[in-house]
Amino acid sequence: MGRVFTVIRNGDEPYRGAPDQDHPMVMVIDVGALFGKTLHSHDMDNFLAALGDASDLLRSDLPPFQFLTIDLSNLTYVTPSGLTWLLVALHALRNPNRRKQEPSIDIPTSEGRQPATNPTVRVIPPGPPHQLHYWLKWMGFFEFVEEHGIACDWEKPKVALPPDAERRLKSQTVLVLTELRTGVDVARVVREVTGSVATLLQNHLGYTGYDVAILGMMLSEACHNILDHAGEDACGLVAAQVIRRSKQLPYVQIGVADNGIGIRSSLSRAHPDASTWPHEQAIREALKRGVSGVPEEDRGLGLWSIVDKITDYQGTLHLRSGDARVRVKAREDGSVDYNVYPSHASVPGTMLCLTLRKRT
Amino acid sequence: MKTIDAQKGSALFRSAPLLLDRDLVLSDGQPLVSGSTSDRLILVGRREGKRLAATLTQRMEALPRRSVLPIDCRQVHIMDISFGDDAFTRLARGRKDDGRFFVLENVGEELEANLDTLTKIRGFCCPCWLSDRNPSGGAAPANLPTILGDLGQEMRDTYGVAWQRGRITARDLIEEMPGAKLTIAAASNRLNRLADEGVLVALEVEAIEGGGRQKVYAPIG
Repeated sequence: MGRVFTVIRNGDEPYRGAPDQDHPMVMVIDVGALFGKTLHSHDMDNFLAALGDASDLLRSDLPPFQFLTIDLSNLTYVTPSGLTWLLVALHALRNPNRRKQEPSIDIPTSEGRQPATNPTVRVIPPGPPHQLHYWLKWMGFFEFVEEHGIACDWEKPKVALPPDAERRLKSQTVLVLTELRTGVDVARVVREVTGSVATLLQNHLGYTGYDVAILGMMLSEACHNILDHAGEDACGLVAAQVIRRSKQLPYVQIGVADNGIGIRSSLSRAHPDASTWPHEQAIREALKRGVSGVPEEDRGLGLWSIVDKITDYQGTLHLRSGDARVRVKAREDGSVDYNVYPSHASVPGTMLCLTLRKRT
Repeated sequence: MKTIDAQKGSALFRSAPLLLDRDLVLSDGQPLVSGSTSDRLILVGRREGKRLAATLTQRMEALPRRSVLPIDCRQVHIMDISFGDDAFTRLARGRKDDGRFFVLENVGEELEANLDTLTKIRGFCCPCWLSDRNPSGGAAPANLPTILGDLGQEMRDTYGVAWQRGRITARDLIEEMPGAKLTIAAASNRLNRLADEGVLVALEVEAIEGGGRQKVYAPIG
């Protein structure tokens, strides 16, 4: 536990007295130490576990911590899906009870207690010339945290991107962080991916116009789900990037996340018994054809159509909602494998990570 | 052979093409965004698809029975499954009973991919005119529509024969496809199946010299 985060008082200075106004309790989660330098979407499990462990400290004699610091400075890379869920988590954490109807992260403690006070969340990104700093800047991370009132240790960077970094980032970015609130936002996202960056997909993955159109369609379905199912005030985010790793086929990864009502609550609008399902079951049902949270005939095509297509692209889909994550992985014979990963904590909304390779 | 019912709709009425453009679909500024590299449209979402379906239904109802509405898609770049489903699936399913058909024209490569996925998922067929290529990547005969949807090659070949002839009976099909060694029943089944799929329409029943009757079909396209 100590490796993952530290509880300190009065900033970095050791303080042996009782916490007071001048010496607040500060909890630091070192994300780099926790996730081995790269933040993937499936690291959410560990992140939530760390938050749960942190909350456990409230059982002890320690007073409630007032500041929660998410330290990203030891990371070297964040995947697009890792970035979207991290920001949705930060958004939910910054003030969980600011509005009653807005979902918050449910952090379990050993005694099922919630923090007595809501800590102020602060994020520490790496500074320049760290490559991750440039990437976060390029993707729009700093604009997001500023706009949503998430305290960030690196004030709005005035440092311009070095030309070589900009060239490199441009050559692999399919979609910078984009907020999804209306159908126009979704259409713009699809336009971006199928328009100006189609050449990038062609160069890295050999995608034809057909492939780009299929990708645009899957992206549209994933994003439109937020508008249709996440709830009125939900905030959605999407980002995408081509990722090239040695000894691996290049792939495009799309991350979509929202802070809405989640899959189980959405399904229960059309299937009342769904409210009693475990989250895992709700996710698996949502992936089936014809299952939808909208009580209309012929609905429930969106997620199913994504699963239907991933086999053509050696793809993988991760879907997280509540306290479960389901991975759907294409097999070479055209079928798919389903794996369930239960989590220790519940997240608000839904998170989707889609990975596609060259068409087989 | 002697036609006994020749006046009954021996040809399909083909209306002027309906251009699927911004003005047609846009009513509150929500569904459409012009592409950054072109002015083509991105069509997403069920609500917006429903709106287009209402417009198309209205246009088709204004046509006489046994008519075809060409829908010109040259301005459409991408259409997602949800939009396409609400815009076209119900319309396609009602074609046979309604006797009014639609055909998509100037369908680009990207839109073709979207529509091909939709038609296969929903299990219907749709004739369309591609703007520059056919789905298999080979050169498409300039005068033959492509059928989108899950249809076997022999049925596509049968449709091609019907298209070349303009009107066709089971006996015509046997003559045109000698290699297939079709019986009357098999040929009739093929034509009937294509009519069920909404890519042929039964025009009339004609008497056969020497006794009997046969259905005459015309291709939609």
